[in-house]
Amino acid sequence: MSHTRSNHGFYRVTQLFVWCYALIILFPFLWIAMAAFKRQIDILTSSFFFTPVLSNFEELIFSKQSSFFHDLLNSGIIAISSTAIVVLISAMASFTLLRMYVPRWLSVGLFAWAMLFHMLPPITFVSAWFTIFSELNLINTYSGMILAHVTINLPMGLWLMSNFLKEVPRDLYEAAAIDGCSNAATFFRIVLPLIRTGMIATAALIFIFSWSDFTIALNLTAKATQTVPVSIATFAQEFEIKYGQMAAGSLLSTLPALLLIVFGQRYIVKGLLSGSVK
Amino acid sequence: MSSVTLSNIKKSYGDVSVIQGIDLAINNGEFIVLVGPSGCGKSTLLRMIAGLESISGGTLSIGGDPMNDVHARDRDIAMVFQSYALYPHMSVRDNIAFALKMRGVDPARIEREVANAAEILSLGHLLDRLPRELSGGQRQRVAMGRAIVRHPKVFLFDEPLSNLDAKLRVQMRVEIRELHQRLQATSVFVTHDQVEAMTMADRIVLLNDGVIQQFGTPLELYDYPCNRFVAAFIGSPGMNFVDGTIEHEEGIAALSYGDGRRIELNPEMARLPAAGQAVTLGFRPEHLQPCAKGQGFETLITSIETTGFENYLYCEAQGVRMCALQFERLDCRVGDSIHLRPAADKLHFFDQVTGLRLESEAPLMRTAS
Amino acid sequence: MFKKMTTQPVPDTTGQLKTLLRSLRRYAESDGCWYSISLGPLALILLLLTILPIIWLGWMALHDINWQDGVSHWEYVGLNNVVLFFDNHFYWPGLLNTFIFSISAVSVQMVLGFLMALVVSRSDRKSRLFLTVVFLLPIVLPPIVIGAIWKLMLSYDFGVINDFLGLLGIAPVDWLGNADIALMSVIAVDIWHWTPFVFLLMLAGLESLPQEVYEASSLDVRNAWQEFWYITLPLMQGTILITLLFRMVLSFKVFDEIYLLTGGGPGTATEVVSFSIYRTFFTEDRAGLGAVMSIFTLLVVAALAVFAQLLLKRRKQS
Ligand SMILES: Nc1ncnc2c1ncn2[C@@H]1O[C@H](COP(=O)(O)OP(=O)(O)O)[C@@H](O)[C@H]1O
Ligand SMILES: [Mg+2]
Repeated sequence: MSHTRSNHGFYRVTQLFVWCYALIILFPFLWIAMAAFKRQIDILTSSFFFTPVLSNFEELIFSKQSSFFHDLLNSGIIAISSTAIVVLISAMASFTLLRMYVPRWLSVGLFAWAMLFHMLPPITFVSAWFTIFSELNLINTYSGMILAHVTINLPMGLWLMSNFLKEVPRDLYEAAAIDGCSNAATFFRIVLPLIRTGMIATAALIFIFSWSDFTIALNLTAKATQTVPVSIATFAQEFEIKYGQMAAGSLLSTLPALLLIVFGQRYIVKGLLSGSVK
Repeated sequence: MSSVTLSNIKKSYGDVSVIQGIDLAINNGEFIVLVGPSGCGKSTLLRMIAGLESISGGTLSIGGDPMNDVHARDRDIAMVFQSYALYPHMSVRDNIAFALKMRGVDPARIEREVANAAEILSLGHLLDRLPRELSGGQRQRVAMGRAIVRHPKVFLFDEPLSNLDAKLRVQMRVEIRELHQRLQATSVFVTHDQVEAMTMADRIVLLNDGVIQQFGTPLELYDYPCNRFVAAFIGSPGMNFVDGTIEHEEGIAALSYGDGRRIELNPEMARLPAAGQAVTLGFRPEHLQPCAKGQGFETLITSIETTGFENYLYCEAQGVRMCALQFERLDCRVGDSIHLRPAADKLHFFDQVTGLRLESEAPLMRTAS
Repeated sequence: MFKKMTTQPVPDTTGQLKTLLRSLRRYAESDGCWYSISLGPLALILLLLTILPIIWLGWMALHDINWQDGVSHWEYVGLNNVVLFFDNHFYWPGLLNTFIFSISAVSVQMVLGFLMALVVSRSDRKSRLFLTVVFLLPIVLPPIVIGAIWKLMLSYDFGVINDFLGLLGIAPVDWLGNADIALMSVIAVDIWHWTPFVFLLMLAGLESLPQEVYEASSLDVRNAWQEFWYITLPLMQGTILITLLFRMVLSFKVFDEIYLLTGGGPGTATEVVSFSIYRTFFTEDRAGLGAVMSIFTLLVVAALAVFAQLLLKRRKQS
């Protein structure tokens, strides 16, 4: 791209603007991270200088009233199982839909409906699921939550996996068929190893979505299966808002995502891009 | 190893008919080359034999057994793809062994077979590499190795040489031929390159628009093309064609062409078409020789190509372009006029309308149209 | 050719078992089995958990539903819920707010994100990597955390924003409690939240533009502005349009941040459709009415999504 001298100054200014924006993004996270180590009194006086304490974390994890640790466990169980299920189902389905003979109306219909469903507000479905799950005694159970999370994340999984599958050349399936592979063998021995990166990217994103979900967890869980986002919201709603614990909980709940960013930044960006640009 | 028989095989995609009823009997151990211009349906036909494409009509049998409804994995054929289709995540060894593993062959035997294939194709030192660490020619060999370990009933090749550079292509051509000598396996080889077809085939199937134009040995196709399409397709540079009318005058046969010019044809030839018939005269560049004035075409040289070994003269006579192949270096230049005459016993006549060969002395002519 | 052979003589029962196993295995390797395994779960989930619930909502809409001791009692009320729906005091302002919210937030996100991507696409690799990581943060963190952060920062009494204004000598503002400002605050949070996403998409789009075009055009264009207007913008049109349309449709989903920041208040100042449905269904326990709202919302969003899709298709054709 051409840089003439006249717009070089302008370029500098705009660049400065971007870095300011980055700061604006970073600052709130630093602020809440700081709040997590403050006593309530320091938060309420919003002092910049304070003695960091671990009391918020201690209360969050060890106090009898707090169920946070249990909630973390719930979040983990639900997010990991639903991610695994979504990735497996969507990988197999997109393989069949894209690479095997399937009536056109079926593949187009499934994809179109999945995409439309992805755009509809989850709360509309959550309200229906609530009554259906009540009848089936699935409210406040792991299976109910996992089922709901699988459903809500399946379209994204399908979309991502099918994008990654398209990158595997058709010849390879045909070579596998000639080499004597059944469909299942072709899938597990040829396709899966080749879309591993795509699966990791998909899994990372789906995990993040599932971990972050609030709408579903708020309405389909109670104490026993409550997830972290719900417990963070609970701190904010008590009569006297427990800002310290809310901050500490928030900080802990961001850990998986932070880890994924640090170790799998490549995959997340890949997934995000593949999921949104055609 | 097995024979392959196609009877009235058809393929259509929706309303578009791509293969229009093909009959073909391939003998056990034969090396058949399927050649034709791009888009004529070669790959489609091959893939139907492989079981990768459903058959819209007709019967396919391999080794006498009908195969129409047999899955590709159960047909016991091997295929070498244009892209090679090596499994990128497996080492060369695993690539070659994969088909045997899938068939549950015992490991000791697999090891023997792989070692044997590696030895034949001199891949021994590459067995632990991944496909991406190989050169184009080496990948090609691995693809071959993957096919030969299986001792399949039929080998199928879909333009396996077209991704190689020119030199390697010539080398692999020879190697594949030698391999076939050694294994004597029934093979169907698809290519769009007539040189490959001529040099490799036991018999050539020339396909156009989903129809077999001619099926025969390379020399049959070269010497007795059964229609104008075959004549033009086989040979490079292609056959020269002159449209005209046959005249018989005082026992001398001649072709009148252009604005009334005539060229005498050999009076002794009994196989000339009847007088008054509109024909296309065809003759190959190597059969066009300089001659005395008045005995042949009076032409102007428009361009000269030489490889050092052969010299091609591109000429024009009365708006008809022709090419002559000379092995001596001629003392002539672009713009010179030269008289050229086709060898009398090497003439081909085709019907101007149907394009079919007009007479036939070909001993083993096979026509499908 | 290399099939395993069973040569030992076997007793009859084992033989039968083997036949059974073999036919089972043949089925396992058949196309039909693979189709049902690979497509079955997807089809089943879509059918039972997305299609069926819509029908179910239709059925609920015709009833008043009460829960007593965990048992639901359904009372048929005909179209009464639809009448109530048209009179609802929350839904309609909520719908308007949702439109205002998504249009204004997404427009600003697009402009900001695109401009920043333009700038960053010219920076060196290291700063690009750093910015990418920073900009990923708001995208991957739970929205509820975003809500918590801003609740803390926008607090009237001790929020850092008001502290900052105080330093400048400006009186504190009740960002979330003032009906005139609350919607704007929520929109600002959403802009903060999603601009990075647009930025990443635009950056990827810019980086995938063919470099030769720029090399060729550098002979013709005279300044960066011309290059932007005549080369970059037309080439990016597709990416921009897709991002814009889909972000708008997706921003109809907004719920978590609103829930935590304002709870739809004060009054209906920050009410959005998702929140109205939640309120009606789960806090007011009027499932029938909630079902009507859900169905109506589904129709609106589906219409928007289909419209967006058609627009894109039409553009692709021309
Ligand atoms: N899946 C398909 N759908 C429709 N037409 C096809 C399909 N595959 C091939 N064709 C058409 O069939 C014809 C033959 O194709 P192909 O066998 O690949 O030719 P080639 O001789 O170059 O290998 C072509 O005209 C092609 O357009
Ligand atoms: Mg082809």
